[in-house]
Amino acid sequence: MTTTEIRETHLVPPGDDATEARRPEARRLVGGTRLADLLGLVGAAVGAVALTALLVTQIFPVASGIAFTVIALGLFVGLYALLVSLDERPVAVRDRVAMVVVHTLAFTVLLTIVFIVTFTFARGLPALVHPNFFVEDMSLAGPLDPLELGGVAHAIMGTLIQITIALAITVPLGLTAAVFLSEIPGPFARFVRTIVEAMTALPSIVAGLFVYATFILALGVEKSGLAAALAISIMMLPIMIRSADVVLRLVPGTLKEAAYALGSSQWRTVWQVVLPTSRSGLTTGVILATARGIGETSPVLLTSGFTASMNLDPTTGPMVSLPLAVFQFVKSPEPTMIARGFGTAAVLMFLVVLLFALARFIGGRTRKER
Amino acid sequence: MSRTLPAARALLAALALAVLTVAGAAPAHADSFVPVNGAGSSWSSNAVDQWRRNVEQYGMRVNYASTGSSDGRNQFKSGTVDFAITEIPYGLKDSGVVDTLPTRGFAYMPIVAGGTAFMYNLSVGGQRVTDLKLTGEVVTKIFTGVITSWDDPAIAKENPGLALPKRAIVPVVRSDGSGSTAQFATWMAAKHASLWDAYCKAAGRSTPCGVTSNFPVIAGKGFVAQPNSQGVAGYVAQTANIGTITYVEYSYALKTGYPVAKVLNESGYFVGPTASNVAVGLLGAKINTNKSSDQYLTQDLTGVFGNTDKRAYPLSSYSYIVIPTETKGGFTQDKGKTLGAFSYYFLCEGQQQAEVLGYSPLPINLVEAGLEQVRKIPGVVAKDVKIKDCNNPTFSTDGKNLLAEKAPYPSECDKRGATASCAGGEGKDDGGKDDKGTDDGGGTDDDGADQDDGDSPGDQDGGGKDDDGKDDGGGTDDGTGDGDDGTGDDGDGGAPDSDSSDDGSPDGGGSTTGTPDWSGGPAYGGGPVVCEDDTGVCVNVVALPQEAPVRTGGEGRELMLLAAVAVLFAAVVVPPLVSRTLASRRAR
Repeated sequence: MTTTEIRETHLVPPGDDATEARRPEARRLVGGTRLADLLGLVGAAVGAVALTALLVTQIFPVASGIAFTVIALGLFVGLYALLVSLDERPVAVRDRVAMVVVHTLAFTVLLTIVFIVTFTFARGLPALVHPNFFVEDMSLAGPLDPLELGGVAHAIMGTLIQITIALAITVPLGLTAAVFLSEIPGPFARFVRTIVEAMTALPSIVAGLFVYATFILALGVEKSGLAAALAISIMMLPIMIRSADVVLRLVPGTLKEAAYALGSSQWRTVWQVVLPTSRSGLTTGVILATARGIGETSPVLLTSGFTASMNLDPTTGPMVSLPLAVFQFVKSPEPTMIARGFGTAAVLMFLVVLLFALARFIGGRTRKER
Repeated sequence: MSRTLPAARALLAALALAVLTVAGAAPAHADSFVPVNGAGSSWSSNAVDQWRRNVEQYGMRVNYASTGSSDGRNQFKSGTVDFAITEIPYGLKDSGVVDTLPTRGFAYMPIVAGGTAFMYNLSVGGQRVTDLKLTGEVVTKIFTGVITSWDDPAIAKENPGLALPKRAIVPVVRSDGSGSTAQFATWMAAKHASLWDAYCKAAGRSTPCGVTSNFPVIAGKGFVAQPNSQGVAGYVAQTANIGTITYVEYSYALKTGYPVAKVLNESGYFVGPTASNVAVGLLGAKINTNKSSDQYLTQDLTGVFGNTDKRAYPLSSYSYIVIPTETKGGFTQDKGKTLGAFSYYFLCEGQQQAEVLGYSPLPINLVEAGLEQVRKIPGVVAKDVKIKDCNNPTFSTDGKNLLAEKAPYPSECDKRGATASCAGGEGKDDGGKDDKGTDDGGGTDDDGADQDDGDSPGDQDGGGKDDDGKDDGGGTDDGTGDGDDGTGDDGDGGAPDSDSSDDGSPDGGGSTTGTPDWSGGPAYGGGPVVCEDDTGVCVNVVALPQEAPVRTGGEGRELMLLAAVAVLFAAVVVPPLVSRTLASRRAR
């Protein structure tokens, strides 16, 4: 749409004023697509595919689909530029070509996401169609058992428990740190901010190693859901602090000044004005951190141990989470186990989407109420 | 904020309640056994996972994380797991680092046996090759970058029936530390030390290279490194990756549906890594029984690599379970009870399922050694397991070694250089030690009978695994091939003389029988031979895997087509451009 508008404006170069004036004024279409645009696109696409098919099947036999796509795309852009150049000026041609390229890139990204999701669901479908997959654990299902037996209920519960503990640690800690960073600026706050920013880039395996070395080896606590939750917390904390810090700094100074003018203390202002104002942004921060934490495999790999059975006690015994279950399933040579792995990945994606929707709902609702 | 807090608090409370109720209910089920945790080898994990599931019904809970052998050993050392499963014992020097022994008492016990298989992806003329035969030396040369093309004479010599393509060999190795690498390296270090050391040296490792769990890779050699068994098997199994070969546990190749190479054993037969072949091979395993040695109870596989049984698969090995022998570092008597009961289970009954899982059952010598070790676990309820009660598939209730009696022998045509002799039905010498596969003219006659069996077409079509391979080759010419089979048999009678004489010099035998067959000459007897593993029946096949005619002489044609495309393109593009230029000129 916007590109059409741009073209229309370019269509009136200053030098053509004289010729324009002689013709009767015609109503300019600002929005919408013209049939010629559409036909140009379709024609270029058909031409590109046909030409590529000819090239690929007759002259350079390349078997791979990637080569076909790349050649077809290049030809498409070229043909489209040619078609457009037949009845447009060079500026418009450049504009159209840029549009096609940008849209192609966007489409590629979309296609990738769709492919990943579809592929995961398709490979996991044999497992997902059995209801037991969602309510049973794997304690009575081995590599030789059919998909009618066993499921990932233990991993779903493990993920929920671990992320709950991690959130219980990181939300108070992260928000307090963010408030500190924005409310008490100074050399120490700058130092903390630098550390937090450095921690965002921390490789996740290092977080796992840290908890493994301190909590499990030095303190002698066994591998458990709690240790895994601690490792996840380390991964989530910097992201939460950073995003919350950014959001808190966006709170208009006038609001705070008004609160001070009314005689409230600094903490009262933070509690009553700053935090409620930035509620939606803070929710986003929590979501981002949760998204990071819920998909982590490597810290969990070192700290949670692995079990095939349900364990709801985070303090004793190994507790498995969804990413770890995926990791272990797909390593198996058995096709049924691999199907379970993809099914588990699908469950994980679904769970993430669900949590996001929930958080958005909670975060958005209160703002409307206010 | 305050408005949502109660809701969140209620949610938390509900969750906590759920946790408490279920946590309270769980222990009732496992009243007699406490859970034990283990970690280690991913090589063995498929079997352990199945056993773990099976003992769950006895109330035993065994948690096993397949994080890799090295991690398993480290975790056992630091006391974070109760047992570890590993292919390499402690105390070995790997990549210049000595793996120190754990401070707590421990013992080794065999747990899972299996063969390292060479899975490959190779097609000839659109037909997948499924019956590749390789000698140990060739395998080593492939994985040390000495042999780089599939049509290398060394490979062709052992596969006279295959028209091998001129295609680069892409060895796929493990990028992570792994037990498969360790087992493969153990074998290479024992059997082909000079090649292996030369390769290690080129890769910047110290020599002698010995056992390593990290495969050394030299950049630019065309090797591909992939993580995990699934990774290497998956890479080879991609249809486009023709020419790849990897070493992987047999179960992965089996489930992926790709063929594995038959490897030449000490007695001159090409055998696959089937469960029985590996178990027979492992009958030659010796266990270090010197109690004062660091390597007490570790394996000595030289007897396996050099096993002279015709059925023995040379790259057979087994993994250890490392068990604690004292209560220390979180290991208790109660855990010992669980671990002991689990050990009795997997040494005996559990081995029943080894074969379906793609492994091989532990043979009698290793089971006996293992039963001895179980007693060392503190807290174990020691059982006086008689061999007859063990219910292990490799030996009968009266302690007879079933395996040694029942395991199928390789068919005679899997003998080295057997192409002709199998067809000829003469010149076999069963008891002979002729490793080179040279056949005396005056062989025994019982093989002639074998050959007669083979001629019945029914046998040829049996759905055996290897049969497929040959059928593959015959796929294109099935119609004629079948018809010729009948007449070909007659030809067999006449042909063998020439063939067995060819065979006398193995080099010549390979090449001369290999090529003329294809020209469709009258001597069908020289054709490749289909053998069925189960029956040992061999049949002559006329149709061969055919090399697809390479599109040679296509250059002129391609140029013409290219020109055609250019003309086409110009016809589309030039007129509008010309008209535009003209129009713009006119406008001026």
